Amino acid sequence: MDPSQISEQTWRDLILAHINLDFQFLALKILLSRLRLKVKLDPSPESLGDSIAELKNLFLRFQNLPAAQRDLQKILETQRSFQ
Amino acid sequence: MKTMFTLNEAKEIIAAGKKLLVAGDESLLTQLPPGPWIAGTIPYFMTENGGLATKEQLFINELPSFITNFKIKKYTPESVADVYKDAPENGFSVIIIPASSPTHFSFALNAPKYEGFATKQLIGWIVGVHLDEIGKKTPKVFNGEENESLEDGALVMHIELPPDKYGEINIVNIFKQGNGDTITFLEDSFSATEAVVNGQTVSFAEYLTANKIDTRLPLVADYCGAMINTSFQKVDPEQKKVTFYAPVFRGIQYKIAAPISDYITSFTQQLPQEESAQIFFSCNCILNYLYSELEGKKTGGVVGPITFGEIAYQLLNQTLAYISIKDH
Repeated sequence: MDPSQISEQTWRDLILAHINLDFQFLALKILLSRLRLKVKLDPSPESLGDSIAELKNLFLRFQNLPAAQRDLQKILETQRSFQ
Repeated sequence: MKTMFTLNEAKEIIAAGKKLLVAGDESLLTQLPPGPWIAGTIPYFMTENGGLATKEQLFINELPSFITNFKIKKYTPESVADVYKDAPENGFSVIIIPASSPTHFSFALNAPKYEGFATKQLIGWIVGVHLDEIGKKTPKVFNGEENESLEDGALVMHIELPPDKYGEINIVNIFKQGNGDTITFLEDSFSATEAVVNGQTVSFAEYLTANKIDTRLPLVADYCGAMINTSFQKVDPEQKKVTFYAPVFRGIQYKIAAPISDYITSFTQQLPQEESAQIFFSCNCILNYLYSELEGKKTGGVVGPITFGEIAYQLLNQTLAYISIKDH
């Protein structure tokens, strides 16, 4: 499964908490919470862009882990449901 | 698998060249010979036979023979910011830090801002002392390769795994957010004089006292479904100051945890039974050991040191943290 299949809009929606899913992967839960807090405290475009890059990086590094793959699949299914 | 060893048994294991993570009382750790090991002080353990307080035995995790590389690295309160950068691409890192040291506070407050935070597998614990010796002895970490002990600093064992294996960190937290007030704080800190409760700024010490809050229950924050605790250390009504075992963070919404009637039952129900054989390392909080009276009680086959703080990517409280090694 390839994180590049996730659109920029979906990454933004994840960071801005417009998409909320029941994730399994602990690193994702913790990092996403931290990134959401960061953007809440600093809602600048730079802050949002940096946060999206950090979230993408997490999936790139852990894309072979089953828990991360399952969560990526959930994001992709949600993205498809919006299309 | 046996995990508690006498000093002589531990010496034999080290003499055999095994790579180890060790926990035990300082009086034993100072007698260990040099070798590829790191250790932290603590005399409390979850063992195969239940919770145990002892200064006569050491808890030992032996690194599996299939690891492809490992490195012990020492960090200062400043350089610990590199811990995620230094961690292996495929593998995990085990970090140990003395309680109440500058490195403990630095890591606790700043880890979420470190480069690469949560993008590598970092687990570990805050080392402590016997509760009767708080203020008399200092917690220490030991580096077997350098034959030294530290009262401040972090020791990290970076462990690489072969491509067909991976490490997965998880937690067991029996606490959930209660249905009470929503609490936020004005700054990142190990203490607070004021808090914002349901939108109103109040003296937090007065709030806790007036509402008869049971401070054995932690503050709980919901991190996208992961319940993350911050435990109360002290409520000082005279100074109107509340101190914590981990920092509270500005902007995060906390609630006091819902009460727990039976820790062991709640714990064993949450522990993923199918994973217990794959768990390489785990640790549990001294407050769980105390408040839930874990001495003599088995924790579902999960063993490890009892800690003054758990680390699963960041500092946690009143939580069991563990890492499993699994096959792809």
